[in-house]
Amino acid sequence: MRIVWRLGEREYAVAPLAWLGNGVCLRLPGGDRVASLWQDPDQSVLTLDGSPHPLWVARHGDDVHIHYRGRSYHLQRLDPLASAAAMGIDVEGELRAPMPGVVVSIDVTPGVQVQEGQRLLAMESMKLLSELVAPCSGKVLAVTVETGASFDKGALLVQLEPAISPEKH
Amino acid sequence: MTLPGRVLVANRGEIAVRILRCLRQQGVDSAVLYHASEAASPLLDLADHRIEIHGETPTAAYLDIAAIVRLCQQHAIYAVHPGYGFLAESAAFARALTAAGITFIGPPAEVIELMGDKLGSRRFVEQHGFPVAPSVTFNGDLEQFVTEGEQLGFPLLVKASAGGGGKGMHIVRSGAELRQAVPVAVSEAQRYFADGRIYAERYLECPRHIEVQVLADQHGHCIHLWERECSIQRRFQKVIEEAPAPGLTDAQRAGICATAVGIARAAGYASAGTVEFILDQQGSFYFLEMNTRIQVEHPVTEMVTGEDLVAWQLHIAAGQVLDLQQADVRLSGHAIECRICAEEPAADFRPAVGTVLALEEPMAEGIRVDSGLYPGQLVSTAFDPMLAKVIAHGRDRAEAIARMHLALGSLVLLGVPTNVGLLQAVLELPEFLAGITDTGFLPRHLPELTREHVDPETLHVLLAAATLGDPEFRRASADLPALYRRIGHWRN
Amino acid sequence: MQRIRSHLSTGAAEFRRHREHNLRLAEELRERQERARHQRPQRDLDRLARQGKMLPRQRIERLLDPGTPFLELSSLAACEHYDGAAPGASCIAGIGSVSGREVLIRADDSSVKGGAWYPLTVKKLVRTLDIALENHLPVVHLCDSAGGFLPLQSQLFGDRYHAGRIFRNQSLLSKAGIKQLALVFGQCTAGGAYIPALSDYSVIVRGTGAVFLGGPPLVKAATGEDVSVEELGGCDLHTAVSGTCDYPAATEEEAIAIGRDIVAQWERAAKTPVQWQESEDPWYDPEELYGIIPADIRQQFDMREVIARLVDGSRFHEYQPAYGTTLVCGFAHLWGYKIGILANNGVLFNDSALKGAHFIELCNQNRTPLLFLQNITGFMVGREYERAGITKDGAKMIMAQSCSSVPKFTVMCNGSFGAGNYGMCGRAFDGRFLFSWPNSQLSVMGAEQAANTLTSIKLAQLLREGRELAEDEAANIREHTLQDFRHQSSAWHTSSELWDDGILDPVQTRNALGIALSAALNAPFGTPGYGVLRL
Repeated sequence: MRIVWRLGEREYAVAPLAWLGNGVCLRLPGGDRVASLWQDPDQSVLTLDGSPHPLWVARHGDDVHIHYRGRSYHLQRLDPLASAAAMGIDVEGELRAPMPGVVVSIDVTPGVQVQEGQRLLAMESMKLLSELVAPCSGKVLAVTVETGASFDKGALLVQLEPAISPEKH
Repeated sequence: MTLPGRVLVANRGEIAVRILRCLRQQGVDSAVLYHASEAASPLLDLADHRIEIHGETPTAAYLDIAAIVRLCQQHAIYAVHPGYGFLAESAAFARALTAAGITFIGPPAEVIELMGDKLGSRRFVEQHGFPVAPSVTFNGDLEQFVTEGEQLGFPLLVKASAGGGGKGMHIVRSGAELRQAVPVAVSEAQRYFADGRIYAERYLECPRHIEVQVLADQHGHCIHLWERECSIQRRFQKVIEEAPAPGLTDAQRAGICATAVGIARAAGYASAGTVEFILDQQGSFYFLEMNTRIQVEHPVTEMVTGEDLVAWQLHIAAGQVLDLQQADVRLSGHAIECRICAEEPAADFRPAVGTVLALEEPMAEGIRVDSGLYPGQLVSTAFDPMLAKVIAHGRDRAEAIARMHLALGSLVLLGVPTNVGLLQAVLELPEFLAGITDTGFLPRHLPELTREHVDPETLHVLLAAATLGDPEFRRASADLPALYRRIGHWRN
Repeated sequence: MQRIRSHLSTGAAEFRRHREHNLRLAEELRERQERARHQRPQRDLDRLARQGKMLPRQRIERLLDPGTPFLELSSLAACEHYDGAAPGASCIAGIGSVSGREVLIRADDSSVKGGAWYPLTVKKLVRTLDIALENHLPVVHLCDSAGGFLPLQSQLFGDRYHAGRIFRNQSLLSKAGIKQLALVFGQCTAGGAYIPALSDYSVIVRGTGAVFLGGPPLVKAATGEDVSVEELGGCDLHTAVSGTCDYPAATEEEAIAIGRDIVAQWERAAKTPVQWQESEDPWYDPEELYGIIPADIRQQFDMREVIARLVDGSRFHEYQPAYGTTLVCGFAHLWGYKIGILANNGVLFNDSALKGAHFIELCNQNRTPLLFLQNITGFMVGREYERAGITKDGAKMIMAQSCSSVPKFTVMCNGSFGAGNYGMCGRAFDGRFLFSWPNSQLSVMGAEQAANTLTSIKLAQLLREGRELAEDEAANIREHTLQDFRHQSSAWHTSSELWDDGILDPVQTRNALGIALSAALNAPFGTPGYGVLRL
């Protein structure tokens, strides 16, 4: 599989080219190298084209921390599905009804700042009470329903002004 | 002889470890405070007793004087060592302990109070004939303050009277800037120190920060343990300290140390303390402030003098005579300290968080590590970002720097972003090696110090190691049809 | 198993001459493939770039597991047709590994006429899905096609193996439990709309992907309704409202990532067990194949030299080495898989045909896949051979081969003329895969014989009309006929017609056959059984 790593400000893709007796031939930025990794809870040794490189590797989820030749580095594995998971069909900042229902309670008023995932209102549908949360962080522009009001699927319930996040230019 | 009862360390992290080690060495029964967020720390095992504290935030727990005094009484505490930070310079705490019949390991509350007030301490020092930087005090009349400031001459440094730790300081270069800075500084002073008084002093461009370690007993004997240079700072906070200060003439050294002892003596100081000065480019020095506690950078002095400052604190607190004469305090070689902080130098030194995933502290000749780190530790912003200190001693400055460089390279601390890379880069700068430092050093060199450069070979090593050890990569590789793996990349 | 002892002299002038000739052909193959794959009008490339689309081959590369092979099929299909307007039949097909699963990938080539379907596109599509059906290979469709090429609609719509067959095959795949995934990058219009609809899983890219029976202009013409592409059949409509597609994707990259994740959920089919042993590179260098195949198609050569450069360790267990010697039969391993090989070493006589029929039956009994290496000028003709029942014996070989239940693979190594093609598992005999070498020729008879025959017919015809031709005119006619015939029997032409699954550089044959074998083992073998053999 192909992995994209972020190191500092830059991203690098790494893909295997061939599995050989003495390691994996990897396509690295600027060249193909045969590499193998001997891992130990403490120290590891990476062999690159036959030369050993002792290092420390610590993993935590998508974060990889490496201590090599007296320096520490932090690499981040970019998940190709990460944005897919976050993806919805909503226009950013719109909270729409996932199904027809009745508003049970409203937690916010126009002008307040909300965090992504924060509860905006509670609704009842098919005898089920469910919470609707903010699709993104930002300011509440308008609440277009009142407590007790019924609505159809897809109705606009709350309009947010999305906060400008530094990751999304 | 030392303290006759149980001593509580009212602190955490590396300084708690440092003090607990000393207590153990001296055979003193010890106790330490801890907050639930650090209950798993193996460092607590260094104490004979552990006492849990509670608070709305972990920091608030360590600042709760009433609760801590109550706990001291419950746990039969004889004396309290406050370390640095938290309640170390709280006269109220010292008084509350004394009132409860518990010994406060530090100077008398009055001295803490005197030195804790920047304006008051300046006045005190000035009255005793010691040099202070020219300044003006804000008495609520903005126009008068600006006029006086203009007379004093820019640039000026606006400070909180009750300040410390670099918080709430502003450099202003014109009357207009000063006018703007006043309300901000007042509100910051109010917020940080609950005391809105501010003043402005002549800001010296590129001064050096020199401080003198003093020791005084309760019987009027006061000596100095020479000076430290602490000019490598970020946001007015020290990052690298060394002793002795490079390039100081014998006359300057003697003058500055004698002044420090004079101030301590005048104040009736008892315990270990530090008198801070700024040294301008012309070689004149001015009193800055006095810190009435053990300081973060005390190990460099210990390394060059061979004295154990914490042990002396205990000794003095026990009412013993400081049986060390000035002539007996000798300097041997050179020592440097680097503070290891969880922060991101490239992002304006923003405090960083993380989990300590791998930890190996350097061990080598001339190297001392004062650390509160342990594997698995969750580093949060609840506490100060300083995690540990590496101290290197050598026969001369060059050897100390070389040893420090090696030691930082062999410090493995993975999982938390730190300033180690920046420290390494500082140690490689020719200006630093030449001993040419001032408080503007770090900001001036920051771009080159934080420039990320990874050579192509290192990049390959990092990417290959990250990829080959990636669990998903390993699983996906093992899952490939065997023939496809054997053939490898091939196109017809 | 004994290693074949090669008698090839790599220093000989003949070797060098053959090598030069075949290297030139291999180079020509590469050039033709390069043109078919990458040479596109700048206008089309600009259009794709404007739409933010990847080129179809970039999509495939991103979909495949890196570091694994991709066996492309019929890369030169339609290259000799439509004046070269539909290189590769404007679609791409091949076998590769996605998320560790062996799959068939089929992609519309939107860099050619918007991925429009020509008649040969349909033929390639149907063949691709036939391969999926025969070998139980899951399919990933990369959809981005403008739909049928209208000017030639009559040649692609109505007949049994025309476009409808694509959807029939898709349905049968689903019925057989063979998974299909459609990644919709562009428009899927009219019939093309059924490709995602008939797939088990589909992902559609927001903004560029669209699925509808009739596009906006057609809707406008039919009902007067004004509707945008997005409203009519875009990503959000199909993933949130109509349920025609399953997963929305913001970008092509993301669609591929989702697609890889979907394939990773599929169970791996159990492979049909065959004899297998740890594989070994051929002892003799496969590069030497270039020096073995003669420049003149009529020149005889020993097919054992070819076998020695294809199979594991160059080891070969030859069956009946002294009988029917014009057909070399025997067992070998290729990439570890046990196979039975039938290779022509001359014209088929009675004994060679009988030996072939017998060996095929042995392999069926033994559950051993069959590899046919063709270099055949036909069954022997003449009174003596007819008396001995050459037709009857040839029929036995054809019967045994046709009724085989083990997977069959054919490589056109050189000539394939006349009924020999049938006995040696030509295209009509449903081998799992058939590949050609660039030097190979395929026709009912040899070019020389055909030219002579056709020329004499022509001359006789002219003579009846009272015209007599000068000798150079006759020679001219003969030369023209020869050229035409040569062209039509050339691998470039046969592959353009999709009479094979692609042309292979001889040195690629080992890998290609390995992948083909591995693919074939996804489907169970039938039970052996034959018709009435004329004894």
